[in-house]
Amino acid sequence: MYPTVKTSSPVSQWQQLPLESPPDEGQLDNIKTHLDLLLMALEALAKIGSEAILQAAQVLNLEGMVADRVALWRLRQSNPLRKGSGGRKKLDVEEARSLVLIICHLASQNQELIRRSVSLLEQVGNQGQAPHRIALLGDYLDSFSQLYQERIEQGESLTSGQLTEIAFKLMIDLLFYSSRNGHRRLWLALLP
Amino acid sequence: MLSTNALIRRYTPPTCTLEIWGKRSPLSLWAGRNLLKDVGFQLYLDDPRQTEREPLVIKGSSYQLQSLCDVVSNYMQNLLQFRENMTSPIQELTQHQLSLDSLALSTPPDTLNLSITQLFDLANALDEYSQESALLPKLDKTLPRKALLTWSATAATLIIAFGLPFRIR
Repeated sequence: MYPTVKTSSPVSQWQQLPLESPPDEGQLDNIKTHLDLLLMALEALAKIGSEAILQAAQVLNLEGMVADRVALWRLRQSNPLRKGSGGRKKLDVEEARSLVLIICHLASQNQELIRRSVSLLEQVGNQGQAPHRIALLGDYLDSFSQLYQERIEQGESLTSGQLTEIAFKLMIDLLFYSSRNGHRRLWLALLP
Repeated sequence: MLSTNALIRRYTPPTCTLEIWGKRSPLSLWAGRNLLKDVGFQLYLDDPRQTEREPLVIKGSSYQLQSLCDVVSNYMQNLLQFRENMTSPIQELTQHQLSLDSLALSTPPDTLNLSITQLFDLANALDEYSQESALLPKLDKTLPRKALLTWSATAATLIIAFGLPFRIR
């Protein structure tokens, strides 16, 4: 978006995600959940499907990690909050790094849309309006709530207010991850 | 004082402008590249909600700029932290207050009230600066040593240049 922004190569981006000590089980569960929810927010806001995620993996030379729909499904199914077999598959650090780069690549591609949505949310907050009355925000909320309730174990037990707040928190996170430094920000958020 | 300074770099995301200023040192001639001293910054914050208002201006030294980078970076990383309970009201998500106490600015503000897009822009400008600052030529504290090394190298070259003919003879 800014003329001064240069994109680093996937290899150098990978090197910018250091790991001082291996994450423990609790951290790994949080990482798996966090990455899956961010992808879910991208799906809902930018209508990104498996195809676009796999394409991003190809652009970033990460086909080895995310080769096809089945591999992607298995990675996302590692989220312990998922219905059914959620959490059974282990996510290793390389797979987590790959998903970080993919999420930030997709967020960067959709930065204008994400920023516009966040700006609208600011206006709504200042004016005390209901966010679902703004088309862009309303569509996002509907899609996100539907995906969340379909896929997450206790999704149906959340109120629409709680779902709204989760959806907007993730949307704002995506804005920060859409910038040139996004992958480092997300990595730090995953491994504080 | 700033009028005698040169603008070194300007970062211009949509809602703020970060300018880095400095004076070119006479030692630059010896170093063969620009060395800077008295590096400082000016930050102009525009509020898209208050277009008729003058932008908020913050000025300071390179040390205060480093403190500002730390304040914003820590605040942002805390904000992005993943929590079990991710619910918070929209106002809390979109409005933020950062304390500038650690900067010890000579003039207000002591706190920054930023919308989330302003915080995003400021964080990006400061990130860009932080990444480039390693490449920006500086003189503050560390560079006199480098300049000294340059002098030593020059002196050594001169000794060799003048010394060699005598040896040959």
